Amino acid sequence: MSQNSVTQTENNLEKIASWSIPRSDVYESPKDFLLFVNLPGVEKDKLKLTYENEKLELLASRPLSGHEGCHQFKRSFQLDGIAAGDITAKLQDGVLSVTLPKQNPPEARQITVE
Amino acid sequence: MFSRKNTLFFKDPFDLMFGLDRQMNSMFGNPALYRGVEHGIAKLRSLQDGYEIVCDLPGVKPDELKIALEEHTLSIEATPKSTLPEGYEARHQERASLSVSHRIDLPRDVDREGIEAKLKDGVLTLKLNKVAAAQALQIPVQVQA
Repeated sequence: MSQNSVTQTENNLEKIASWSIPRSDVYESPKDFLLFVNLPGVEKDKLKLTYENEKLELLASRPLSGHEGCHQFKRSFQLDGIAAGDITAKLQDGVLSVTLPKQNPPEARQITVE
Repeated sequence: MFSRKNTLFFKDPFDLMFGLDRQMNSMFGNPALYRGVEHGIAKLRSLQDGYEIVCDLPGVKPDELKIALEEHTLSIEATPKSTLPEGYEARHQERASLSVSHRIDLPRDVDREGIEAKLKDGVLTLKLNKVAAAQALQIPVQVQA
């Protein structure tokens, strides 16, 4: 895979020794989606989450014990109908949780017939 | 199940790999086997002055974790509480099998008293010391009178 490739995260260059797609769960309520992603060993500053063109992209890295380089996690989620400005995320105990509020559906409007 | 609008789905090449992953799980009937994709298997590594065991336990809190040593077998068990939030419906689940049970046979020179465990960012790290090598013992020879 992307062995020996180099990626630039923030200001330092890191060698990627291995990579994987992190496991995730998706839950839905009438008002939002809740996304959980397993990111063991990832610290907050090694996680990049972007939302662009209705796509949530995740890129994270963790150090490898006893190995040179890091392990990279990457995954993307295609979304629509999300209020992009209200997305919130939290990283705790190696699990990322992202709340993705749904856009308010346009209100039903009574049309007066003259 | 999924409505056309307001849908969260996977639309990249990785999606194919997920299908495969799930198939493998159902084939072998043990999703825990595939925790390996996240370096999930507890690995013992030899260091200069001891050993190190690293095990991924994303979402596990210290009070949900039980580590025990019996003879030379170390067991790591975690039973995290369900993450299903109230008022939500599951749409896609890959993290379902969260309970973990590992048994590791330790080398014979591990110091049973000096095992240190640290849980940080969902990763458990155990540091094990080696017992100092037994000193060569002089056996005095008694001279029979």
